[in-house]
Amino acid sequence: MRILVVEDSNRLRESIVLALRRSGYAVDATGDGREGLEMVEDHPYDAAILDIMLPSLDGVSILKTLRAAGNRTPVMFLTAKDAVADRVTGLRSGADDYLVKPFALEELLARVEALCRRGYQKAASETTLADLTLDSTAKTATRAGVALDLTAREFALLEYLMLRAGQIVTRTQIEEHIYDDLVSPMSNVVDSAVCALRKKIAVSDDSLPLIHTRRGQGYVMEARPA
Amino acid sequence: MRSIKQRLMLWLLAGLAVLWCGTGAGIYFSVRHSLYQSIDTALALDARLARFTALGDSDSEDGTARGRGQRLQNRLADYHDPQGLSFYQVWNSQGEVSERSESLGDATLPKLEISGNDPVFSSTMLGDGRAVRLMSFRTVTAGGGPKGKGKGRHGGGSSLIALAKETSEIEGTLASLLGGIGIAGLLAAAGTFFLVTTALRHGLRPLKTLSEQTRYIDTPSLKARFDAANAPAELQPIYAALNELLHRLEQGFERERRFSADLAHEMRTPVAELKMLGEVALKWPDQTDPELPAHTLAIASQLENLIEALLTLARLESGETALQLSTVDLSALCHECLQPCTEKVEAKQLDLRLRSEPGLSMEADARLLRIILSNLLTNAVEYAQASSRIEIELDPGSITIANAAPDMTQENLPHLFDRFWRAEQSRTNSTHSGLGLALARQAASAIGYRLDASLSGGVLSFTLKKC
Repeated sequence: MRILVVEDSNRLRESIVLALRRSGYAVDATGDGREGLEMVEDHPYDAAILDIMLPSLDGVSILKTLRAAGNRTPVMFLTAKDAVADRVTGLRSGADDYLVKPFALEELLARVEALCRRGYQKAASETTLADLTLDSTAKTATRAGVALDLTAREFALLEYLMLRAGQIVTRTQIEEHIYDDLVSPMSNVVDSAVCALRKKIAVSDDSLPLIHTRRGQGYVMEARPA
Repeated sequence: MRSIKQRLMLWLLAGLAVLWCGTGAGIYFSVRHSLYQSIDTALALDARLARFTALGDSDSEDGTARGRGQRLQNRLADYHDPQGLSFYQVWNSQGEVSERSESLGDATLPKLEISGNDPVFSSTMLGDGRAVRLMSFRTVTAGGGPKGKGKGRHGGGSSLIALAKETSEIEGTLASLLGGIGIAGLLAAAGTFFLVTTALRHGLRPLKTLSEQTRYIDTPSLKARFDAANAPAELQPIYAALNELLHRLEQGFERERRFSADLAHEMRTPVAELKMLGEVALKWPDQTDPELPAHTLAIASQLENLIEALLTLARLESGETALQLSTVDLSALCHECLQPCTEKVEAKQLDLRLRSEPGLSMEADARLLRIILSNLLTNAVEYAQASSRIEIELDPGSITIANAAPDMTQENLPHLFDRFWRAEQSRTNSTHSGLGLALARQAASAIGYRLDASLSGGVLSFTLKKC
């Protein structure tokens, strides 16, 4: 999952980015409103966290511009403005969520997770495909009752593939959603990550292969014999 | 007495009581007077008859005293009814009682000493306790000698006649009149009391309404205004003054409310930063950021600055600050205030120009003056464009600090001194509390100066002047 954070307080932004990265998200961040708008226009983020008061362009304007252009990226406002009128204005301008500073880290993470789910029309934090179950909240995956030992990035990759189960996922899409700007992925980074993931989810010899390669297109995750 | 109602009631009731008593007494005494007058008139009439009788027959054959008495008796027939209410008594020139009416019974009329011919009236009591009105007069009775010769031996001379009428009837009438007046007076008093209290209650009702309306005014309801439409003309100025007061209070509270909201807002970001730092450190204890203590310290200092600025502002606003006047070397103070900005001045390549007479000083509180100058100078350095010029002019009685501010607008000018106001709504630059100019202006007024901002040709100037 790739997230954009636009927050003008440096320390707060850095902390949020750190927390999100450690939770397995790919994160891009900026402190400037206009730059934030350009970023969200250029990349298909799974969710964006916007401060309202920003230099050069405020959060509400960014959101209005996005929605006017038909961009449906789930957006959460993160602001010190807590009056009911402010919240209403924020939500009416097209925001999916509104969190008032100061906030609890767990709440921020839970809300971000819910926002990301929303983009894939998922209602609960658990996703299941055949005998593979993934819990987005607990960050755990089990196959046939066996807990899988995944790194944060592997988990993110599996989560993304499962959320888009049955659809063809291109390498570019994986790059965009799993890796942030800090990592400049070589073309084979995705392939090797998928390869490693395949090995990890094959817990036994009779495990059904779930990640299939579509030559020249990408990958598709579904429960069918190879 | 503090109650208008009680005061009015006292005045009205006391005044009306005096008026009613006066009227009652007036009626009583005038009736009494006219009743006595009528008795006196009757007595005077009888007296003339008596005198006429006594004189007129002086030349008749029967000139004896008995004869005269007989005639008098005939003239004054009603004086002889034994049960009658009229009496007479005659003393001859020797002072002996010569005649008396039968109605007198055992009683005698008092003998009054009269010198002239004028009758004398008096009210008296008979021996048996009957109250009478008495008229005594002298009359010349016919004697043997020629008329006017005076006192002859045979009763010729003046005899004293006393006529009297019993007044118990009049006294009775007067007593019942007095009773009537008393009852009427009591009724009038009760009526007056009722009227006065009712009138006062009705008349003072608008005051009660006003006080009831006032009771329900509270901080949240400061938007409400008194409805003066139905108020009496006398209360209109009070209503107007109260509404004006409410307006001022509302504005003041609104300002304070906004300040509180801004303050909460201002403190939220640093608190959110602290909280995030702490939570991240707790959640991933093995990956603690080595810069965590430095960040924490920086946030603490920022909060400390904010609190310090707030406290100073509050003290200045409440006038609690005691001034410590001293002679301050202005250009030295300017240099001192610019010291912390040196790096920034160099980084932005600012052209600082200080114009001052050598050794120019000012009599002021050095601490407050430092607050003013350091805020103005830091602001100028902070917001000046790179490679622009900052002009500082020190004159006796005024200080001007000017820098080019292309983004400043005339509309923003009045807000410059508002607490927490910033041209840019964002809080990126967290080293500034947003209280600097508000603080500078308060400090200026505390030392008797006025701090104003003006914008002309894209140059923003702050001027500190004696007010």
